[in-house]
Amino acid sequence: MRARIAVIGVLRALSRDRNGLIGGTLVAILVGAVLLSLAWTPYDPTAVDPNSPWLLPFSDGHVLGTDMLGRDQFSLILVGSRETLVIALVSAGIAAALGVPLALAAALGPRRFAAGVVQLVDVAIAFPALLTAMILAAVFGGSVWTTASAIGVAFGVHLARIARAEIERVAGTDYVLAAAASGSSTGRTIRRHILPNIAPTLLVQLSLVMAVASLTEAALSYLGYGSPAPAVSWGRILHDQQPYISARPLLVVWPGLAVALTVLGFNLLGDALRDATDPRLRHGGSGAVAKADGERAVRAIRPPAAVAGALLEITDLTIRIAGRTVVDGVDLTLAPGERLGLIGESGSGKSLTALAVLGLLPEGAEATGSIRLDGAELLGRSERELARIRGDRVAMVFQEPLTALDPTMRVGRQIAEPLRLHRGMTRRRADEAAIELAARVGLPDPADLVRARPHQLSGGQRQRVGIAIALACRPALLIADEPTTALDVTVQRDILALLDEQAREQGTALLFITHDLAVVSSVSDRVAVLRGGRTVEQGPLETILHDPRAPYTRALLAAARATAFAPIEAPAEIPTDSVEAAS
Amino acid sequence: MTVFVVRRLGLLALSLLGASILTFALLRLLPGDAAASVGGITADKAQLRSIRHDLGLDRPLIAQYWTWLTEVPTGDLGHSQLNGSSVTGELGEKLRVTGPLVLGALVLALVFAVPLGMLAAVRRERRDGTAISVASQLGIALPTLWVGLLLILLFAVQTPLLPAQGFPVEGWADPGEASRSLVLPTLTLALSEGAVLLRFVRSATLDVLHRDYLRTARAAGRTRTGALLRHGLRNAAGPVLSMLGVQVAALLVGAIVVEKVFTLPGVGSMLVADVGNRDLVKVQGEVMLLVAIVLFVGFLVDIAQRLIDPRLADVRVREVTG
Repeated sequence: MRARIAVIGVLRALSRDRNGLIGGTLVAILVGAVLLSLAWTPYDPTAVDPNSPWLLPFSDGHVLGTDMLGRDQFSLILVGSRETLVIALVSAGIAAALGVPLALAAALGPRRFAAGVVQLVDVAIAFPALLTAMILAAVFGGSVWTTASAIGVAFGVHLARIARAEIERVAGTDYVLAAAASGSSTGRTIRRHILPNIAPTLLVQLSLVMAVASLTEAALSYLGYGSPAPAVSWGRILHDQQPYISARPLLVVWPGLAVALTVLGFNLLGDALRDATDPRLRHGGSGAVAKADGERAVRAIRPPAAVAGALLEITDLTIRIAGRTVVDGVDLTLAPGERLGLIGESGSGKSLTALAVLGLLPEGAEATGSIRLDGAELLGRSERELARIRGDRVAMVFQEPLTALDPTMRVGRQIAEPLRLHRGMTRRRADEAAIELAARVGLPDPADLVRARPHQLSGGQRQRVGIAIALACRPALLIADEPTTALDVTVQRDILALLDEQAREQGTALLFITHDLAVVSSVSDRVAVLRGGRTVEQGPLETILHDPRAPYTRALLAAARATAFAPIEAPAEIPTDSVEAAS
Repeated sequence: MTVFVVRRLGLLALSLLGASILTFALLRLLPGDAAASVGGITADKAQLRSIRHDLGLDRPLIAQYWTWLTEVPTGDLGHSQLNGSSVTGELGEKLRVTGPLVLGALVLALVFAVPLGMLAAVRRERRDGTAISVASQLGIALPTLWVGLLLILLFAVQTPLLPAQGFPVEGWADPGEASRSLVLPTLTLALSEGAVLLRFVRSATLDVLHRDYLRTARAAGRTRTGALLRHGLRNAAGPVLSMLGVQVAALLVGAIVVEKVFTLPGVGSMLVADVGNRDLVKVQGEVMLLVAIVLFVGFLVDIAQRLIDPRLADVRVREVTG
């Protein structure tokens, strides 16, 4: 049931996808050719006609001409489709029959068995299908079965490995665990929950097996180890025509084209299936409804009068992603050395605002308005120009210390990177400077630690490395995007203290992004509140904390106090357009 | 690392042993009596028996396997059952064609597939990126043997720039002539395998393209391209490398076909001929060589991956709180 629904959904998605459409059409043509060849061919494909050898295409009713024996090429190719389709299907069938049970046993059976399967795959790769098929054909005589079983076994083992990973993923999901917990038998769990969920992956792999099978069949027949006559194979036609390639070049073109289009069909279908079943690709942003500009609320916030000597001035910053406005006319100003807290819930556009300053917006995002650093416009600058500023005048610390560092590179090298890029330091000088920086951000045993790789450090240590990278060139502005959110509570405080201390010491302006009011109050002089991509309120920390104007800020404060002492109360519904002005 | 290498070596030996048993067993399935083909139809029973005895075919299978197994590590792959020539000697000679062919194709494939694959990933939304993807998709679909035939058609028949088939009888005595006859075969193999490799590189690059560490590197002052080259390349190398074992297997199989298309006297042609002749000892040696190459590449790949990605190697995670 579930499998059928999944398959229907996949088919629907396929018909909308260009790859799926082309691939599906090509495979449909192949199937059509097979069916047609069973009922009718223009000529008897194997009939030798000594009176009409070497006929050119379209002469005497021979659409593709005839070969040296006077055989009609179109009929031969039509009949050759049978061998290809049958071998593709039988190979896929054998691969599935072998691969799925093997995968189930490896995933759900004892550990030892799983290791064995992995080992088996490694040895199996070393026996390519073509080689095994050749030997099998030499033993038993070439046939559909020798070819298909060699291919099926070779890829069945391969399939087992892919399916095992997929089964383990599915078996770990909550609903399968829940089914097991509620007493569902193993067999039933496999049938009802596991197989339907791995079906899409299997379909993808099987269509790829069919592609490889078609290619292998052609090569095998070409080498003389395919099904013997009277079976007709595209590979053998190629073999037969090769000696006459200079006299009749077209005769080697048609059968090859037939193989190529078939393989292309299976491959495109596989690709389209993969795209249709990949949840990461399924929810593209294309479906998002663009918000009409007309319904934009009256903006209450006046752009603050240009502050003389402002370090960062963001005016009317608007960011659109896939036609959707996610930041809607944000204004922010930051004086040198000032510490501004940017607060808002997730989706309020605060991170995008920060990324826009560095020119690090995700692809497809479009920013308009103005971002001035030291009075110079940043929006519209080239990647190369922006790269010169990033890490030097403006630096950033990111939220996820676990993924923000290159896992393959020693952390010292990563700390040294901005120094080498902006200060032109030699590798040795930069490496020494990295040790000093590591010490400055409070990393233990800095001389040893710079030689470690990210996975050897704790989350807090990694965030310290991130801060060291950001501070390396003593930037005028440091943007910290939720730098403590992913850390343990005890570590959070240390990291905040470090950022605060370093910013003060170096006179660095701080743009601190967070959803946490408590965090904001410890590191900012001023606070800006963002909601739905707009600045709701902006002002000195004290004012925002004790005399908030905007209802949203009040709700935010109330919620923060509530969580501190009492169960959370749902904040009152705040209409977005009731934005009030703040000084 | 040393422990890992030793353990991996043990695994390699085990795989080779398994492969040797498989090869031996698979070939014992071959019907027909080698003695009969050696002795010809005139041989009487006594003669056949003595031929069998000379070939060692009257000994138990286990004993035959053991003899073969103990001789293989010394580099002795036995002698042809048909004409008594040394299998190792002939393989060495044929490798002088197949070796350059396969290695040349691998290098050529890497040279065009890696940069184009990365470009196709980075510029997937643009026309050139899409064009590369489509071209590689087509390249994968073209049968190797057809690519060979089309190249012959284009560069040997229509415009006779290069030899259509064959290899100089004198071998590498005339390096220029020998190289010329390997150009089209190498190109054929490189195009077929390169197209597959390109897809791997593209998907590996796509995978690292949105990783946070690239953003960190850009925030530290790298350009998009600079970050990709410095951090993306080494992180994408792992998945691409892991496919290299499969790729080498595909290249060797491709070489069988390509050598046939271009009638090159290489290991592939030798294998096809010997399977046809039921020359058991030779086929056994040839299959074992191909399998051993693939397994050995797999071994090298595993070691290389450990060197690139130390997370795989490190069991000791430093437990210091930050």
